[in-house]
Amino acid sequence: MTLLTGILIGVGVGTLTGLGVGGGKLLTPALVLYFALRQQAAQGVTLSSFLPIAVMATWVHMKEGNVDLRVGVWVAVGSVVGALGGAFLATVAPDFLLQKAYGYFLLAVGIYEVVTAQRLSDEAPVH
Amino acid sequence: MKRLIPIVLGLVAGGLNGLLGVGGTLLVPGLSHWLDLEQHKAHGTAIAIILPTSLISFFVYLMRTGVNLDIAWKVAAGGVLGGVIGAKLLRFIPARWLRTLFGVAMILVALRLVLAKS
Repeated sequence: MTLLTGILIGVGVGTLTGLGVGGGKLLTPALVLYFALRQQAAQGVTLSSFLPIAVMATWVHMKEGNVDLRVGVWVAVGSVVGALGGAFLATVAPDFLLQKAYGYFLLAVGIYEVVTAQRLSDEAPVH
Repeated sequence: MKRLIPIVLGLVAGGLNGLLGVGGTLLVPGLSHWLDLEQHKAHGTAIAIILPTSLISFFVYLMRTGVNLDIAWKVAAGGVLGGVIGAKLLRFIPARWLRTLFGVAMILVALRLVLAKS
């Protein structure tokens, strides 16, 4: 992948993320469908490319006082353990199975988004 | 016992992060509906939780299968710029239109993945 292509993809995905709709969820399938990456490999790219963004966003949110550490720390404890198991599973699961699982997840999220969006007013902003 | 809900929420969210590489999709509604955080705190806390979670998922992938860092850094570079653009555009784009459009896009992509021949 050329530098320009990567950057353009990143700008697209980052813009969606900045708008509050999860851009990362479309990055993984884009890599699978257009760049012939294996599902787990595409997920790895998505995870790692979002790390710097997550660092900066966390820093800003902490400064703004938007992080509830009291509640968050316990969720994080579970989350880290869950990630260990989930990630390990992703590295041993057959490619097509993982792809289908991802597809069903995305389908569920897409339907949820469309349905809940109808409750929103027509005015900006997203949140 | 009261700690159980946040831990279980974390387990599921973390499991999804490791298994599918997704972020706070489950976390934000989970934090606001089940743990009663206000919207902006739910968002901020979710991101703060996703960071160590994604790091763990990333390292497991890195150690077991490797990660294509060549593509990742290029996308990350664009992503930082895109994030700023998106944040600036936020106030100009009607919420319902954006989320409906994005939802439909996700459904279409999802169908493509789900219906693909094995």
